[in-house]
Amino acid sequence: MWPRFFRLHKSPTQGNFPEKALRFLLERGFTYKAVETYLARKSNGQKSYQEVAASGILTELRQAYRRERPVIYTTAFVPTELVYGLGAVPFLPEVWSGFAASLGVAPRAIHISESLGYSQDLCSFHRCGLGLFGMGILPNPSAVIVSSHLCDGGRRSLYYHSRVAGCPLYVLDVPYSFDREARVFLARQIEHVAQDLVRKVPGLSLDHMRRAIEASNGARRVYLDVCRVRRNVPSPWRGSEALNYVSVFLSSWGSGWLPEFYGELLRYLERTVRTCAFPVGNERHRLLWLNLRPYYRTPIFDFLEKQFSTSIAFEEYSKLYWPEIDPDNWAEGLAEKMMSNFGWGPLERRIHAVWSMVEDYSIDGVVQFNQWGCRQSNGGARPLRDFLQKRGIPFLELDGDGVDAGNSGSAQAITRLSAFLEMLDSRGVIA
Amino acid sequence: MLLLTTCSYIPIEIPVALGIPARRAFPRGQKPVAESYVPRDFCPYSRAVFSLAKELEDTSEPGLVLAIAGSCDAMRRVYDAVRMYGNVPTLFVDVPRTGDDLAVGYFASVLRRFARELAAQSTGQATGEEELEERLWRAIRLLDDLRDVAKNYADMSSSSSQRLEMLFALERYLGMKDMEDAERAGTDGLVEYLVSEGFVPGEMKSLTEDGPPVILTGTYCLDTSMAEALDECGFKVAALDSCWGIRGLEPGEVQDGGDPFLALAGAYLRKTPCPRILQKDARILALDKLLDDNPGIRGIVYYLPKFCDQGYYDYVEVKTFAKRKHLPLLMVEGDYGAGKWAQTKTRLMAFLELLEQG
Repeated sequence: MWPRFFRLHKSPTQGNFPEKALRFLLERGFTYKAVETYLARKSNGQKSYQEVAASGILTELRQAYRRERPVIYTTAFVPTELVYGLGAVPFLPEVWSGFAASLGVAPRAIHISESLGYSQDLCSFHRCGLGLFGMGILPNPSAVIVSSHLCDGGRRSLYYHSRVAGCPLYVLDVPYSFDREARVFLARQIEHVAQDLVRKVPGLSLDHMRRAIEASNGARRVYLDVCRVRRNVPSPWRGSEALNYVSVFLSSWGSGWLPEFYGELLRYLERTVRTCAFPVGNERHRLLWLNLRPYYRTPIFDFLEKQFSTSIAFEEYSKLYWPEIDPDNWAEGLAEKMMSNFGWGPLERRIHAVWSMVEDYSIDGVVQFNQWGCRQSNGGARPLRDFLQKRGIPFLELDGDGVDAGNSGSAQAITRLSAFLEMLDSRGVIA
Repeated sequence: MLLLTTCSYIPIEIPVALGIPARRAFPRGQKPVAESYVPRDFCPYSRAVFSLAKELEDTSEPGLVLAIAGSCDAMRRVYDAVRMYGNVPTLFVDVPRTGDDLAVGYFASVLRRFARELAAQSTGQATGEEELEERLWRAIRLLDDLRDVAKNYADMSSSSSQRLEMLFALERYLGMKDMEDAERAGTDGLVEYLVSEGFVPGEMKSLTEDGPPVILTGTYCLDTSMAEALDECGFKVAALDSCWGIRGLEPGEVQDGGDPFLALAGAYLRKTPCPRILQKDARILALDKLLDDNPGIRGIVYYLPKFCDQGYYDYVEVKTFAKRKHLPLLMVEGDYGAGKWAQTKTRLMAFLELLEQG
């Protein structure tokens, strides 16, 4: 329904009625009530992992838009435990760019960001986030926290959000080295940010930190089981859907509903294995997907899963990379979480992480979605390809755009995927 | 041994103190060799640094070392590519994005490690801490004095391309002498050298004394072609806000006493910020100060190397600033040699007409 609603406008320049209407709805409690009632009726009272996620996200959206809790914008790799631990709602504009793409709102948002002066050569996840903010349909931030690692675009785009919203901006400068001195440097920054936020933003306190860290650790333990079950051949979860839930993985650690979400997901996966109701029948190939996916309607996943019986067995951004966090030493624990990100530091860390996923999930081929403008990921492609090819694992760089459909050609992507899968076939790699 | 550095945030004082000739690596453009190792949507500078690293493998000069700063995602990946596919010893300098006390303390430890690694590359053995600190203070004072001279000469020239060349001249001078020689020669030694290189006060004629004064800003100029184009088109470039311009001839005076690494870290992180530094308003305040220091500025030219994320985001901030100040702004996006392109000159001429009419 939402996509059609937005498509009322044939041109991005025609008025702003949908934004105002949407904002009006988002700020009303009955909107959330209505959606929750609809979901409850649909599920006959039995919660699935999808409903747990929908309910958790809707509750937080209601709290954010109705200003029941302060909203803190963060970049994708800031540990959200910090935000939940302060009693705020984390909001990741780049994650919502993915939602906007799936709802058909992204073209208008991108057009608006370009009218602000942002180049088409920037990553569209950030451009879209800037446009959504310009449209006035994102909740108002009380503060912005960015991290310096992995993504230049994230921190720079959120700088704009903080300037326009007139709220405090905090930069977590993540050191490149991994020694104790570096961890203490980052931990002190995290402590400073938390304490300063408590002083500056009404309604925040550190009283929630222990609960958030414990929730994160609890979710982590269940999630490790989820990963264990996902190693099953054939794959028990449709990869195209798993790629959608990367948004939850990026933005919900520390929330009260995440352990329940992964618990329900685990039950679903175990049931799938038990009943052999695998989403991709007669699985021929198992792929590892690096970076994000296109979030607008695209035929490439149907092509992979239905026509070519190929599973995306696991995704790079679903890999859990950090140890448990000590609630009594949470700042250092969160620092360690940030520094453990395998995308940060020398490229060998990412290569080893990819190889461990290849081994753990019985991968036949690796596809890196080369998101236009994502320098940190695309820049590692050549060494990654050389490393994998030496070990007999084919590697495909699939150029495209995760949010801006106008900057991506699905026919070309299918042609390239098709050639890649034929190559896997010819090598006799059939799971 | 010769150290080449990629960023104005890597203190040249450290190699000078260690007796290692050092200069900024100013690659002259990208070579086809970069195509297969560095993605096509990386900025020309990052691709050129990779090209340079590959070229250095073929030079006969022994003991070349490259120091790459973690300036952005692209440079971080270029560092990986140089390590994995190159044959030149490469060091990484982790430059923080903020300048608060915590960041300064951390950067001091990074610089200390950098000094140790450099010393090991140079002599194969560590220099004593006390001796290193004493030599570093001497290098800091020497560079303070020499940069003052270079800045004065830069101010005396109204030819913007010549001002860009000043940084080269200073680094060439340092490359020719060891620290003791340079200390003995003092500032007079540099003045003599500059004169011998054609930087004669009073003779550094401007092409454009009467042109409308503008600021040339952005992330990185790549080469002198944009500055030359501005000169040729008739602008008077009142301030060069680039790694080659004022940001390359800083920091100014380093606070004396105590730990020299800490003093150096503070001075570098708090110099005129480049767009990469992420301290709220710092960049815009620096531009505002440039306007105050150079009254009568009529416009801003923003030069942006293609695919430079820092520049793309910074441009929007500068655009907002220019609008607030009622200053016309021209953004030129390009590659090496962009100033020689007819398209660039056409745009500059149109901008000049706009300023002259206004």
